[in-house]
Amino acid sequence: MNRDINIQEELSEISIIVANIPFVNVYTCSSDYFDDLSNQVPLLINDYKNQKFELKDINVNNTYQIPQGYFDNFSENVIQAIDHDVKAKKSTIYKLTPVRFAIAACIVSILGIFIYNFSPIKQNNKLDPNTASLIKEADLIINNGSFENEINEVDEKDLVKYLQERGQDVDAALIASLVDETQLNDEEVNLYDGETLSKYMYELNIQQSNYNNN
Amino acid sequence: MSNPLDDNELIFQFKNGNNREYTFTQIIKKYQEKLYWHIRRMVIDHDDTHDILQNLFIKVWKNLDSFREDSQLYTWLYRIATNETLTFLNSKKKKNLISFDNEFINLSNKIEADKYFDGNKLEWKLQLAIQKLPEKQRAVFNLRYYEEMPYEKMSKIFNTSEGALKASYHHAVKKIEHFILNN
Repeated sequence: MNRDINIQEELSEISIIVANIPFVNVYTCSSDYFDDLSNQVPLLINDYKNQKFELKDINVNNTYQIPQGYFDNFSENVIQAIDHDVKAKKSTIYKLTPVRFAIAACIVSILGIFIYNFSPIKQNNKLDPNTASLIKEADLIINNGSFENEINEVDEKDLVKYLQERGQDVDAALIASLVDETQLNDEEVNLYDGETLSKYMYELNIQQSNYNNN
Repeated sequence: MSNPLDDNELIFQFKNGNNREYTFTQIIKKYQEKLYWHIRRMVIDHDDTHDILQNLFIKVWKNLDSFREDSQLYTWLYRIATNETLTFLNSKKKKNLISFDNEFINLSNKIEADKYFDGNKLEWKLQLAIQKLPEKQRAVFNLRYYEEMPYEKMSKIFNTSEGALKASYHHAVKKIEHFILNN
């Protein structure tokens, strides 16, 4: 076997030892192998082309067995299971809703003041120490996920009053009660329309950037 | 004997001609030996090489109609051959749960089982050293050393820059040198 001179030179520059190894093919195969191969492959391709899938060729006898009477009440069982599932989800939502409403309302109260009164768009002044401390506290509650503890300390009458006054923010408040939007359950996401989500996310961005600036 | 047809002509005839089998046989005849040796040097075993090569040509048959001629048939075939070979080696590793070192022993045993094997001969030591290389580096080394393939063509096969391939070849040669000096 003769070598390409450029490749031999390149090899010599990297390693004289490797460049001096005799350039031979040590492996062998039968002399007629390649003649056979060029005849074999077209035959294989013909086999492949002739493989036609015909439903009628399949034996209709089912080889798998199912318990006797399995399909007798199948549809009823499925409906029952769906009903059970829906009820379970509804009860979960109702159980959590008052808590979340209240917590969310508290957060929106803080965010509301913050976003609309202290955002850089409305006012360029820095936050006063009390507001900053309030926001930090809210942030801590959000980060700790300690909503339930906090809400237990809030008087229910105050909550009702607050909700009556700021009822329009309840949807956004619900979302605000979730620490991380990626943790939203599908069912909960579906409860809110896109506009509410967009509005809240926009407000949240303002809050975050303003908070960071302070 | 007539000259083999140019690749573009073969593809044109395959896509538009009536005798697709004949044209495809021409493609097989043109590339079978090069592809065989490219695969064989990676997997060592003739039967494994034969299986991979047959599957490769069946794949090419199935996909040649949709082959977009923005790359050359030559590089396309080598790319499929390389991918098929690497897939084969990986699946074999997974199936046998063999580590890299065990795989080397496995391939070394195959080399030593060859009836012409002579462990004292440098060319056989070279084969053992090549099998010690990581798979992709082995493929790069083989294409450069045995096929004498330009880096530009290799870059299309591996979808990697020429610089990276040069570095890979350089490291491969150094590793081979180290193996030969220490074994």
